Amino acid sequence: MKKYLAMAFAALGLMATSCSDDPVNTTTMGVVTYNYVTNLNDDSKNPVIKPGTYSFEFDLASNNMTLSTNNLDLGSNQVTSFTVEPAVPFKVALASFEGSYGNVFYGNAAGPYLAKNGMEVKNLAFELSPVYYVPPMLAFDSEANKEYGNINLDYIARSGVAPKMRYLLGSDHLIYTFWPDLYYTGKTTTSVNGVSGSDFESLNVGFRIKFDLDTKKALVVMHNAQFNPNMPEMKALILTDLDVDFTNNGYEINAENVVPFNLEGGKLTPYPNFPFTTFSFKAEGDMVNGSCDFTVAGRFTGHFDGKYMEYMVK
Amino acid sequence: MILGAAAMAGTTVTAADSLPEHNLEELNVVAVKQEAILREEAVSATVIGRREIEELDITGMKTASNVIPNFYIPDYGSRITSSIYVRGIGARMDQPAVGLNVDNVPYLNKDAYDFDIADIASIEMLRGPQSTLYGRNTMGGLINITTLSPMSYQGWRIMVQGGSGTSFKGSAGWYGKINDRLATSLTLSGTYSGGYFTNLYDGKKLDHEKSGAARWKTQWRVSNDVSIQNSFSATLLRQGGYPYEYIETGEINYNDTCFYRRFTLNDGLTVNYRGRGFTLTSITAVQHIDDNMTLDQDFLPLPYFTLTQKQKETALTEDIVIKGEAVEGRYRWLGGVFGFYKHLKMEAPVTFKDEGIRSLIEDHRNDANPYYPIEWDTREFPLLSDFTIPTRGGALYHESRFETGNWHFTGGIRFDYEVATLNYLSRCDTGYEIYRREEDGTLVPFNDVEIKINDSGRLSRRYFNWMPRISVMYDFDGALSGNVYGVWSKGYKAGGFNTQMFSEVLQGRLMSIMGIGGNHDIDEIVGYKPEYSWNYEIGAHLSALDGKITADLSLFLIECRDQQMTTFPDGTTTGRIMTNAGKTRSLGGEISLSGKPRRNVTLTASYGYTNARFVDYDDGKMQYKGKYIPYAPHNTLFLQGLLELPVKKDFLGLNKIIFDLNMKGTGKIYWNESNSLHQNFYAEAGGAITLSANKWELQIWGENLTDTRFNTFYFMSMGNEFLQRGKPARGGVTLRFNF
Repeated sequence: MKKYLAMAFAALGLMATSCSDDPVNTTTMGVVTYNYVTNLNDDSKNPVIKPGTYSFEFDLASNNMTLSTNNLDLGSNQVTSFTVEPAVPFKVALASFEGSYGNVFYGNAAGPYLAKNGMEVKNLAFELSPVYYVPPMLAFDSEANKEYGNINLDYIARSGVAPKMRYLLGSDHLIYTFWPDLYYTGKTTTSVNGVSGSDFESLNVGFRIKFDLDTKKALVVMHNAQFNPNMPEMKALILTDLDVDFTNNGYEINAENVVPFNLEGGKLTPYPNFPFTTFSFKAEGDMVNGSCDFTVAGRFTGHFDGKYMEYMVK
Repeated sequence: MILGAAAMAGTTVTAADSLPEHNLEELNVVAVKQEAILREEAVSATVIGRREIEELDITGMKTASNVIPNFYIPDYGSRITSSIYVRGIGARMDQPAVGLNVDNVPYLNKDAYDFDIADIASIEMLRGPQSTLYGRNTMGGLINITTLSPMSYQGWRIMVQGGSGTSFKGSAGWYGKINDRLATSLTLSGTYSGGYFTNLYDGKKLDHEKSGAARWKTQWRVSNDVSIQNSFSATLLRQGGYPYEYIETGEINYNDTCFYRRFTLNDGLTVNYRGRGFTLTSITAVQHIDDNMTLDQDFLPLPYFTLTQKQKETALTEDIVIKGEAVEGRYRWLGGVFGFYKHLKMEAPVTFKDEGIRSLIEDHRNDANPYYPIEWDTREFPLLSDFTIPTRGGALYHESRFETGNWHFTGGIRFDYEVATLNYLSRCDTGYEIYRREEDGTLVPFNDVEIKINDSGRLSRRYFNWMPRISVMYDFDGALSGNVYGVWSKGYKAGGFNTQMFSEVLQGRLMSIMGIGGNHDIDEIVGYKPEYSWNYEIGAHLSALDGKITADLSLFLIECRDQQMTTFPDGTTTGRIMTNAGKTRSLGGEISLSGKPRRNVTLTASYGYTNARFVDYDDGKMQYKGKYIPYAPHNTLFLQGLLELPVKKDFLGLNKIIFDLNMKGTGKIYWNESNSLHQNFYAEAGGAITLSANKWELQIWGENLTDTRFNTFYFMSMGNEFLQRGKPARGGVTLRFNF
């Protein structure tokens, strides 16, 4: 089931006070995120994915924004900070969702802007959205599931808005914002192999991808999985320990012959008669959209399309 | 009840003098709010008098079905099921679509609608929305039952009846005048029926019944300006019921007990004061119902699951009506205020039994994962649901009537506000073991799953409604006399809480713990909205040949919004749910004819036609636009011929023999929204020969004389289809004594 963090609307709305000199016309937003840093000139280098913070100072009178960070890790022990000047133009849109309202701050500027560290920032696109998807909570007895290793179903929660940002730093680095626990909601379309007219659509599906950035493994949870009308909707089918390939153009998870687990009374029960013969999940570019192709038990072929946040600005 | 005791405690009441006496028949709630003669009103109404009631052995609403055009109450299940359909408007659960008053006591709970009443004086059925004057849940109409008045009859009335199905009925009523101003009556009645349908499982009759009732009615003309009436009744019922036949086998065959037990207490106190230029009437009523419905919910010979619904409800209503007398004979008005409070406590446990656990839970789960099969800890466990539902509301209403010449213009409005609250507590404590199947096939314990549910909450709904009514009537005299009229009105059926859905919610919770499916949003599923209708009607009440021939005709169009429909969920669960189905449209007409071609011959006919369809109804899986509304019959037909032959020779005081031949027809009825199943039009012939004397009457009667086979009800449970058959040919003898 999808869940929207409506509190983020309140967070945006409440951020009227700031530390600037003009408390009425400026608002400052601190955003905690991860940076997905790619190297444009070297395909062999794996992206560097590290936590980072940004500060957005919005001048509501001039509609200009000052962007700064002080902990941008570019890898190879290179940590930099910058403030972008001159200020970047921004706009504000009103977003509504299920009776709640909030402001979306967004901007798109080619630049170049000279960052205070002497580097140029170009092709900056950002959207601070209050609407992103959060997976449903699952009762999980970690003590009872010790034999399966350190499976942890706790959600790595964001503390505020979900940023969707991309920019070029200097001539080498294309940087995206990222989060190591993403919940894509969308639909699956499945069919029974060799049976025409067996297409089945399930509109209420969620794919949760939780990354272990150190081991480059992923835990995948399929919420409300249903592959044909006679199959009951499975609350949470769990695939563990899947290899992740982080590239300069997003990430890919590929696996074969994976036995899923069903979460039953907080405990994991294997379903060996229901193996995912093939599994391939991809998210490219800003990785907001994700898709998955899979086959199950040699009988079902399925495809998923989803996204982890709504685009408030078209 | 209190009034009766006080009045009889020796208060001296002077005899009436030359001042006009207060007509106690005016204490009938319909007569209070409308004209005593309904044929002089812009309303489609049928009145069944005492003679006809006895002729047709009408003792309650189900036996009045079909006699009134477009009025249908199928006889199925038990006496808790009173699914009334009027002009395609009806309800099979929860809020009624038709209001019921008995001696001015408004029955708020549909579960108490079906009971036998001795000595009914008249039944009035007003068709079409009556919401402006009578409020909530009269969207299809209003039934007003008046019992015999001790002011109009004094003496004993005794009735004994025996018939097929090993059925016996008896009643004894004493009606007495204490003096010219004070009269009281006490009536006791009882029924016993052995039943018609046999359960193959144990060879016993299913639809047996025992019931008893008492009524104490007192009428007191306190003065020429003040009259008081009190009617107290108590009923007790114990019956089997539910003779549902499994379509696949053609058998009625199930193992667990089904019964319905009910106890009711009702009291209605009407006080009427005639002032200068106005009358003021207060109707105070208390109703209490305490019942228990227990069902083998799968209706199969294996232990799947059972359902119990125990409810205790007490309701208090107060209706104050002030009616102005005609101003220069041209303008009249009435206004009123109504309030009610009802408090319902309900326990509704569903018990899963061995076969239900195995086939509905274990088998499905183990088919999905044979490598890690499960076994439930116990072979029986309950899902418990307790509810407390207080509901209160109030209304203000007004109606003005203006007459000019032969024209009558009436406009009325009602403002209604209601608050319903649901407090729920759902519990379950069970669990199961998961095993791992080893390579050699042996099972070793793998994990245990505890299922502990203890959910409680509170939901609340508030509704504000306004209900207008406008009518125009023109009356005329001549060889053909009567009136023609047009009516525009709005009807309203209250919203509420679908407590039956809680078993679905709990099952969903249980499955969710097992890792299957999601949790239900209780607030979204349990509550349902009010239903509204806009009613357009034209009609006529006609008389010819000095009233020897009468005809009532009407054409109607009803547009419903957010119509409350009952549907069955898919899959292997059971229980009905209510949804607001979108829009429906019902159009049709009625005609009632009565004539006396000769002094001793009476012919009666009434026919109703209803074309009721969905204008828009999507249940999330299918669109039913254009389909007929299920359970509402397309046609109702009643024909009767009475021949009275005087007896000249004196034999035990016998003075006439009455021959009665009648026919009731119903159908076509569709059983589901997709209209894939239906019951064709069917007719039941009936008749009676009555030997009538001044002080006694012997009637030999028969019903469904052609033994027509038909079905009165269809439903699905766990994907299985069931029908209830109509009662077979039957007959009996009734003996009445009046002295």
